[in-house]
Amino acid sequence: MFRRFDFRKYKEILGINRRNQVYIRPHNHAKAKRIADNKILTKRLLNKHNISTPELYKVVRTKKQLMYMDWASLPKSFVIKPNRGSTGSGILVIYGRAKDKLEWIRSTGARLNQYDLEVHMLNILEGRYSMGNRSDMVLIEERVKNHPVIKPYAYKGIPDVRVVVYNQVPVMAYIRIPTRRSAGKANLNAGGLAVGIDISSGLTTNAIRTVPLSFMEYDYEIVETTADFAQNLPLRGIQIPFFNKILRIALQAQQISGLGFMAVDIAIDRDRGPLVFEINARPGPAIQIANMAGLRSRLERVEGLKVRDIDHGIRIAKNLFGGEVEDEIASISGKTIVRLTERAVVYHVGRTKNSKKYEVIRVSFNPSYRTSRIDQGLASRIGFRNAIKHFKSFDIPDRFDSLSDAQQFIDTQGEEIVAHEQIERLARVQVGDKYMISPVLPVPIKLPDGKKTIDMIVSSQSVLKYPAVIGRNEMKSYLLDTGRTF
Amino acid sequence: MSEFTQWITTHGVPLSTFIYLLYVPIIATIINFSRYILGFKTYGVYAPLTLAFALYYTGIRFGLLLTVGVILATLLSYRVLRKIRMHYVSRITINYILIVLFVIFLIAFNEISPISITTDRHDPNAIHPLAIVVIAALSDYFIKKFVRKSLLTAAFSMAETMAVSIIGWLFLRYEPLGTFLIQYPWSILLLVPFNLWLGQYSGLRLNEYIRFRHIVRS
Repeated sequence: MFRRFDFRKYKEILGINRRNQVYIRPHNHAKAKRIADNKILTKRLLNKHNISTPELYKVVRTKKQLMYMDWASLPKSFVIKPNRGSTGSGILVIYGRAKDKLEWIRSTGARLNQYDLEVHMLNILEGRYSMGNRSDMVLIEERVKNHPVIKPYAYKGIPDVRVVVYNQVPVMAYIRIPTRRSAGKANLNAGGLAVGIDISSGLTTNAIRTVPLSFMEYDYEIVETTADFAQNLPLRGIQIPFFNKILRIALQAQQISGLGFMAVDIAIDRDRGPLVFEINARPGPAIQIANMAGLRSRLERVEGLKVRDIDHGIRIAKNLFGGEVEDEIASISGKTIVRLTERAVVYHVGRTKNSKKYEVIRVSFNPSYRTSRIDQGLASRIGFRNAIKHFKSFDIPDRFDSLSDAQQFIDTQGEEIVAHEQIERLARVQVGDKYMISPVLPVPIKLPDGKKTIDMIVSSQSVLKYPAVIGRNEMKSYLLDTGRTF
Repeated sequence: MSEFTQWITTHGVPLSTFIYLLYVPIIATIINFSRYILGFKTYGVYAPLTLAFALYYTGIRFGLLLTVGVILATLLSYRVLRKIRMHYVSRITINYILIVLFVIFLIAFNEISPISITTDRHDPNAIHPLAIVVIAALSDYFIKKFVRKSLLTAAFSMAETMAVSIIGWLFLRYEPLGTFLIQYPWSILLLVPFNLWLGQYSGLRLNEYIRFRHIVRS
């Protein structure tokens, strides 16, 4: 059973202890936390910096205000929230109002009268849903309307995208989706779905939910599709709308909030685009499971980086943390995704005492070559010196006028040249409108998918620009990603 | 008996009080360890601490019977009271009235029933009444978690509080530890560096190893 576990990966995971000790305590100061824990203050601060939030209709501060509330003036749909609430408790979503009567319709379809709303608001005022059990305020704000891309996944509620930000870099993201079990709440512990998002592409990856009726408090299972609809959709590969804008807003929010380590929850409105729901000074660790990746290793990679501006922060994140989607493509297609140039290791053949065991080089993946190439100098260094000497000892014309001339030469004299044990065969290489002959060597090389021996034509780096080029003969097992350059 | 213990017992501190006071930091350390190394979420420090002492007085079986009884009574009374609109503290107070009656009948029922659970002391009169009050007061913690989070969270916290208290009770019962404390009361200061270390600990908690197993599965 333990064979399938890679215990070293535990080192990459951020637990509650480390989160509190290393990230929250030193980086989130009391003043900044006070603002983040208070929805009204957060809203005011963000709006001042032109970041959109759901519109605030009314604030109820005291029981007296509640008694004199003008119920008829409330808009048709709205949301009632505690100001200092946590984990989505105490939120009541009103979809519409009954005709001619002071009755409101909940997201679940239940009807509520004025008395029901008053009781709920009184509970909020008494601090029943609030952090620290102190008295609280009631917020009545705009109900976000789901963006059409997201809507088919959400059961009676608003999904929100959470971006965890540290040192001006978005380190991890997921989207929380309400379900029938969570009663419209986008909260994992209430029974909602959490779906990881690949930072570089904005595509969703793994979806998880808590196991119902488990013997453990935090027990998650992976799900593939939604479960509450007549037609259930796969949760992988959803392109989150406005994803780059969402990352940008998250970074702006961090700058404004003064929090070092934080999460920003952003809903996507049909008409208004991304709206910040709240900022969170104590992001929970569950996001790691939705992304099947550890936060600790990501935070440590971002630590101490000098981030110039928001664009730079986003670029760093996309280069460092993207790739979950690529990994998935790779696992489906069985191919390895490579960039235009990759690091590779060439091993020495017929090693002598003095020579090194291997050499690290950059190879270029270039489909305009059929057979792979290797620089003559490099080939000599890694133990093909004798083979090249042997080849040069023959009197071979520099250039041939046509392919058939070159072939004829190979047919008549090739056998003697190939007699050298290291030379596989001779290749005809086009140079401008002439042809030349070059030896092909079996080069042991380690590429991103592992060690192998590749037939390479000896060539010159001045032509190749790289010490070695992988041609299209070898590229069947790779997918070339031209977007990522470092 | 060390000189210090002798001096303290002749200056108005009864020996039993002295020992129990020394046990307080030991049980607090157990709670600290359970929280940050094992990942047990207890109802604060006070609840498991007092519950451990209460269990010591009532005996483990009788104490657990009372605890489970109190929680069931709380759930029952909460279900009934939920329908009536009232202030939070009023609700808790009425809840206590129901629980106290329930506990009284539970003790009486236990006494007359054929499958009665006896206390370790075989004499209910020997049980310190404060122990029973402490157990009844757990209801307050339970309700708070239930109302603010969920029944599941409240139940998990309750179970973890009980587990930690039972570990504390085992320490209280372990007599050589008591004799050791009488001999070397200053040894309690050794707990300071240990707790300091716990205070700096930033590794994963035991329950997090289970929680994150999906990520580690390759």
